Amino acid sequence: MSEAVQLPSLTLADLSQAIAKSRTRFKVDEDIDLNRYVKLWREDESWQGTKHRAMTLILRTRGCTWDYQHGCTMCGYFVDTAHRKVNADQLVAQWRAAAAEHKGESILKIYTGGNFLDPAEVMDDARRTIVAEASRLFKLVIVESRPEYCTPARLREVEDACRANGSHFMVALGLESSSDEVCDKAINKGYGFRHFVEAAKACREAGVGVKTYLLLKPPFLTEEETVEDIVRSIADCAPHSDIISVNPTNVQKFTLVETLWKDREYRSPWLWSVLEVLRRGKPAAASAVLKSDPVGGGSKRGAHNCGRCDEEVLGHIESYNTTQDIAFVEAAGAVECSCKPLYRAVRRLEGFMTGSAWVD
Amino acid sequence: MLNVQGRDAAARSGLLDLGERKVEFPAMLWVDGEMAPSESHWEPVLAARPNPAALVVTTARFSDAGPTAVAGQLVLPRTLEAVPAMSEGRVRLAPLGSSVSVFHGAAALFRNPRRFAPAVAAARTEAAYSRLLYAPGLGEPSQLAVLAYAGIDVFDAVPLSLAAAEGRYLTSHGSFAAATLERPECVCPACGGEAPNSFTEAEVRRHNQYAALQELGAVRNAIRNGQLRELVEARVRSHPELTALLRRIDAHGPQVEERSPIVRRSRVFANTKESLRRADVARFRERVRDRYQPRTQAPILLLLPCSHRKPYSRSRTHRAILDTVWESGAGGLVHDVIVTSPLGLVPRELELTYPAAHYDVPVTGDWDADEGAMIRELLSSLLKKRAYGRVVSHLPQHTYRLVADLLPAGHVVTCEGPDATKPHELTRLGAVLRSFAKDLGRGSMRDVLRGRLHGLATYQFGAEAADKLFEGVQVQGKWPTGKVHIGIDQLAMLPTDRGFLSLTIDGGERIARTGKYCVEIEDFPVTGSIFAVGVKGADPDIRVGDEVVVTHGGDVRAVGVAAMTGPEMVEMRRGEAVKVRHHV
Ligand SMILES: [Zn+2]
Ligand SMILES: [Zn+2]
Repeated sequence: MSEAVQLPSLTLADLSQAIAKSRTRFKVDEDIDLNRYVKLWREDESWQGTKHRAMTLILRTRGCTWDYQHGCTMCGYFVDTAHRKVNADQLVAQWRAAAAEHKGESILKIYTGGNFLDPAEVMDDARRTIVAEASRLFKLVIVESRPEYCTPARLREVEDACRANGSHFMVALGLESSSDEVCDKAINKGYGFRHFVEAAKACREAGVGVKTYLLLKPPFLTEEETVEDIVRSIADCAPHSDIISVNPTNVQKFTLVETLWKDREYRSPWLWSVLEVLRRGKPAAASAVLKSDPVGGGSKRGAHNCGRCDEEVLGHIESYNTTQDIAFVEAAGAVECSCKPLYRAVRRLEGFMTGSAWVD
Repeated sequence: MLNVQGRDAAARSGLLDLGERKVEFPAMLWVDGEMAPSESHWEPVLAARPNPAALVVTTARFSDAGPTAVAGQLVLPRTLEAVPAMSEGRVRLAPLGSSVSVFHGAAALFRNPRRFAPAVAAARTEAAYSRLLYAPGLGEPSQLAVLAYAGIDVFDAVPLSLAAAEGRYLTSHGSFAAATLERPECVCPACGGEAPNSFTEAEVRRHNQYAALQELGAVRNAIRNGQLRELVEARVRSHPELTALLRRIDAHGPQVEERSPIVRRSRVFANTKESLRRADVARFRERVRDRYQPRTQAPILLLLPCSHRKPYSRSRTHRAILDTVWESGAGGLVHDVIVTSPLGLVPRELELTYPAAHYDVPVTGDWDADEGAMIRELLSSLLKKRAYGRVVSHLPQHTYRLVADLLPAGHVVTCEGPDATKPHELTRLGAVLRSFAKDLGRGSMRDVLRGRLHGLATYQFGAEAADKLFEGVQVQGKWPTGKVHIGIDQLAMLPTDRGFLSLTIDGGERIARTGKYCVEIEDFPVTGSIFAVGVKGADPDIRVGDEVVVTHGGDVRAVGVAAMTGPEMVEMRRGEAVKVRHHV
């Protein structure tokens, strides 16, 4: 799609090498119990205009296949993966331990640090068992996957299993940006917008819902560039999405982003930018839910402003997420804080710089 | 192309050719679209990127209507190689046109003096002499002097605008919250003597630009006048971080030392604790310790206090002491050495050199621990180089106490109070020297002069070349001048204005045999100055102001004074390398 952002001519090898270098200090835990899931928590989630309780489960798998060879500049989820084979029995054991914790939540989100639909990671048998059992407990099952694993057959299989139990299935696709330039040279994503579109179409044809993740402020983009890029990306992906979730980059351990951040070459996005993309993106995303849950919001590693206004702004964003009422975003934008002029200056000036104009 | 006009420490001033226009450096790159304070002449600007993957520097003429940019001249691609994290901890520079190197991550590194100082030294080395060093994101007025001193030539106006956005009102002596300034601070066209607490962001920004432009002018002048260090020491007082940075830069001295002229006329004001560590002062001490050899036969070491007036021998204090020495009949027997700070030890023969003849210290009469340690180190090294039959301390008591335990047993103290020029102290000195002269005979003033000129040569050329120059020579003259010759052939002379020996072609032949201080040129007849383009090789020890020998294939072609450092004249393709005094 739109290619307004132009980045240096980095190759996949350049970026993959830089990403690998950022991980040199990471040590795999060999003693981890492969029958135990990583984490489980509960939260509120709005779906089809109403508020639901949701359970989020992190399964421990071998990890992301793409990550084994290349990895993405901002992704540190590999720290929670096993880095060795986790077999179908173990995966099912993890799932059943989590299912025992079910307390009436209607939405289940399963994350693996990789791709639930990748049979090398979650074997066909394990996937079928988990989806069949989960669809009996939850009204909606959301999993995350790269587009290459969203084959029509697999999508039909999971959707049919859910429908049989009166449940729905949704795939979360990490598009990050509709600009291939950004995905290639700033994220190392390994696929482009057309792959996302194909996967999203396959999902819809199979009756599977599509949740699209966009990444606000990958490395090497200025604040100005990423705001424009995400506003464009929202419009580009809206026709293919049921939910669009704008994820402000948070600085995860052992990532290239963290290396840059430690060298004061990177700052996570401002919350003012989050507000701007929601406000400007909303009209084009009218058919989809547009939301943002800034992970680590208000902290140095997450999207943040100056520390004085963060809490108030984050409160408004949360209210907007559940109500979809843009008035909350406007109210947040009207919050008066002395960091606003600085933010405006950063937006204006960062393009004149080679690194981050402002690091705190 | 660079046209270098002034040099001081690692800083240079001059003109940078941007195609159609020349701009002065050290330079500030203004931000396109922002009103900049200079109304009447062309200034470099960072242009809005036509292609977001690049940074463009161009020139623009500023008017109230805003800048009118001409075609871009320098283009910098944003590259991953430029990200410090990706470069194995090495500094990575990116080329911006053919004459500027971009020091990536400079603004981020600047927050950590411990990392910044070695990084800027490495960047300066990598950018070498033929390229200016641009530190993106640095340019607050209070930082300009110290950054220029460390070797950064190009700044930008981004930090001036960011500061304004934060309400910070910048001056050469620090940063203040504009909102707290209830009284006018500045009379620049943006301020007009109004109180900054009523300023809009745009007004603060405009003031910040004027403040930076004014300080840039001060820095350029200081470079031309050889007073940059003094400006730096004044400026770093405004913030402990800047002071810490200067100390770190001084600890990474070789870079600055190489670029600091060895002969110059400007004064050195050793006003602060940091003065002790400035590169040219530290170099003097290191050379006295490592290069200098006392080549005098004089049997008596006479330790003397420094005088306010320089050179010492022209001061009232030293004239009174020297008259006493002369009248005692020991004039031909004495090697006099001055104990001082920040130079430590100045043997009489070095009193005309830079910075011995040029420094001023606020005299308080006592030494701090650092000064004391440095004086003791140099005195110990001197006493190891040569055994003196007699040692006389005519130092004020507080200085004497500092070094007393280093002096050989049997040394004589001739000054018992705080003031070495008091008549009774001088009388005691005269009496002691008279009794020594009775034992030792009168000695020869000519030998004293020879010792001084030869000792100076060891400091100037190193002992090997100096000894070669002085083989079998005669000397004549009266300190502080002198001539070195063999029969009617003069080899060198000491002019008082430079404090260094000047060579003749014959003297040059002798130095050339050691290979020291030689500049090897292409094969062409020398008729005037040697330009860098004709230089094939040069002794890396050559500093600006050094006496050098111009050779080709072993033949001496000329002698003269270096206008560039050795590495610089090898690298540069233009500019005067050697001012020739004599040629064959
Ligand atoms: Zn704020
Ligand atoms: Zn002003």
